[in-house]
Amino acid sequence: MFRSLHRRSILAALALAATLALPAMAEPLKVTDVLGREVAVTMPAKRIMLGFYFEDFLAVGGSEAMDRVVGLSKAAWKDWRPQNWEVHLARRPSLDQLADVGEVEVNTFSVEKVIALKPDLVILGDWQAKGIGGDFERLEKLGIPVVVIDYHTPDLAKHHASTRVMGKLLGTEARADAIVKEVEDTVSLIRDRIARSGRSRPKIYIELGNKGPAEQGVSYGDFMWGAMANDAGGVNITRQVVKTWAPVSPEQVLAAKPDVILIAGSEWRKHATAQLMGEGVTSDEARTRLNGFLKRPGWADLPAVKEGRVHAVYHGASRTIPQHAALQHVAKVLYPDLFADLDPEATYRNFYRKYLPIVPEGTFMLNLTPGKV
Amino acid sequence: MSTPAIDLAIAMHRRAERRRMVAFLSLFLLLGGLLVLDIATGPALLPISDVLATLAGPAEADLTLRAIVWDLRLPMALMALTVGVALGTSGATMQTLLDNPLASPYTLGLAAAAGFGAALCIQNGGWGLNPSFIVPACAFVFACLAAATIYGVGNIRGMGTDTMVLAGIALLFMFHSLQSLLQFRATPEVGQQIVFWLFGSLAKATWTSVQITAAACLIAVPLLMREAWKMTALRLGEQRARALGVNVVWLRFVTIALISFMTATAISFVGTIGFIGLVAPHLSRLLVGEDQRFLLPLSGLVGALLLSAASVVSKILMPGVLVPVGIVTAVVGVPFFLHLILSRRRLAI
Repeated sequence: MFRSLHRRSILAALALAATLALPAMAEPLKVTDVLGREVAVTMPAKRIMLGFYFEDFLAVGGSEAMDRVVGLSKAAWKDWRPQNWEVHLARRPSLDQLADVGEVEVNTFSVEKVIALKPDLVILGDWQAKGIGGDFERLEKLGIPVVVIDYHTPDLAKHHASTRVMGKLLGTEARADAIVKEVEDTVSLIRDRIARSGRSRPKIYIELGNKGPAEQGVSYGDFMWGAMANDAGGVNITRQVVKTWAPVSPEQVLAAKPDVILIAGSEWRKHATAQLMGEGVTSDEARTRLNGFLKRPGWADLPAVKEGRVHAVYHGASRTIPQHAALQHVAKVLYPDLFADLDPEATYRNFYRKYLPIVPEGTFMLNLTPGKV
Repeated sequence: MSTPAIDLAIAMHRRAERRRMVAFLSLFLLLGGLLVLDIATGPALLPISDVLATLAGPAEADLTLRAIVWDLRLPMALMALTVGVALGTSGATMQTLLDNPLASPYTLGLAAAAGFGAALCIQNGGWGLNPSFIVPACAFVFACLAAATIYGVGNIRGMGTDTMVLAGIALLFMFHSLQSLLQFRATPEVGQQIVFWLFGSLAKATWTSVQITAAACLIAVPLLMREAWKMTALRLGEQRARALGVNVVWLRFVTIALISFMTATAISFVGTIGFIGLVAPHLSRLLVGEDQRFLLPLSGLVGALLLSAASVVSKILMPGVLVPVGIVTAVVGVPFFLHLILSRRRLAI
């Protein structure tokens, strides 16, 4: 007890010395986050609480950036993308020792834990900032800088702003600019080719396959996959009835007669029929699950099924920077001949090779018929 | 004048009163202990010595500790006490007034109405007003509306207290369905916020909300205590109370208005916390019997005790995780509720 008290007082003295020395070394850096708030952060931030967008943080800041993180909303990584978490954990075993501040959507987020970590920077996803309500103001009032980023939004400018603000905060601005340029180039190539082709827009139905064929999973409005379908020159058939995300009724799908079907999957191994995609998933496994969806009543007569234009995509490739690879996939399934030269899965893996400490192994983009796009 | 029989009766009464005072005092001490425990526990798992030092001398304490203890834990712990008092006292008053052991702010739909009001407000984005003000305000208005409806039904000629209880239960179901309708129609993000509110959590407490709730209790509880004699008379039956000169209609109106004001204020800040208002009066009755002078304040005390204990349990159940206290009270409350129904005869209801 006595010894620990002693040690703590030495630490406190060191910390005090550091704070006294800091103003001379660095002015607080003023950044603007995606909500348009101006936030002053004392640089370099050494105690970061990272709420979400873990891989994006790593992509922009590099593997070393994680050394400065003291806390995570762990469930949003470990529970949502368990295989991905395992791969990162194998690379960096200390990840599991980071403090867990709880998860917003299951109501375990604790502002008390965030404060107790004494963070000098809190990075939250926009959905988290909205979800924690009054706790957001509590952090602000205590003078803890909170920077909000957002890769869920369909607004690509906000993705870029998120990347750039992290680049500033982590001192990796050149890297952030390179990432923004890569994404921007990919997106404009797709837009230009579609615009120049003057084709009529194919109808696409997108569903999150987490519930399996027996139950209708959510579809999207102008949000996430729905927004990507728009950007890739498709007509999203659920756009009229869904605002952000919600399941539609099965007969709406039949009535709309989609030309293309895209099922988003993930490592949902606990569910017997959910669409499997992602880390550690083989293309055979993924295809077996995708075939299950075709047995839904009436689907055999849909144009998409008749012509074999049924595809799957890794859900984890959305709401993240390498979403441009997923966008390539959506564009390619809509206009196979226009984008025959693109290899979306290679784009996805290359992004990881270039910017992340791990390279994903598994199935991320898939066509029902082997060998075809 | 005095005869041995009268002396004996007086002596026995005094002894009963002393016993009640002892019960009060020991519960008070227990409450003090729980309050400290409530402040000492929390997701950040701070050492108790640090917490106590910060409580004793906030000026010298580390900023982080001060923020956690004084701005987060203390309002939460005090909110548990005030909400417990509000729900316990209201439950006891309702059970006396409606002559029904199942009456409570929760079972009579007040909490459900407040939940609907809050959900309606969240659904409409608070009509552009500050959510920390407008959401509780909406919840408050709807809880009061529900109370007014129950009172109105009871006042229709020939309708008895049982009808009021049934009307309350009908309201409970109606507002639950309306809540579900709103959640069904809401976008996922908004639905999430509604669920948060309905969970019933002390974590929403701020110094402002604690002060407002405490003020509501400080107004309502003394005014209710003034009516304690009349309510004790009412326990003998409505006819006898009338014969003793109690204006039952007026008594009902005043007490229902007071408890609605108090509970609506409390639940508008913390959401749905069930069973405290039902269980606290029953426990108190086992301790002190029907004398409302003792039953009302003791129900408040027991309510505070129960909610404080639930708050501690909600924090130590999964160390480091804050389980919403509404879930804890419901999980503990449901078996108790069943026990109550199955062993009704044994209780002095």
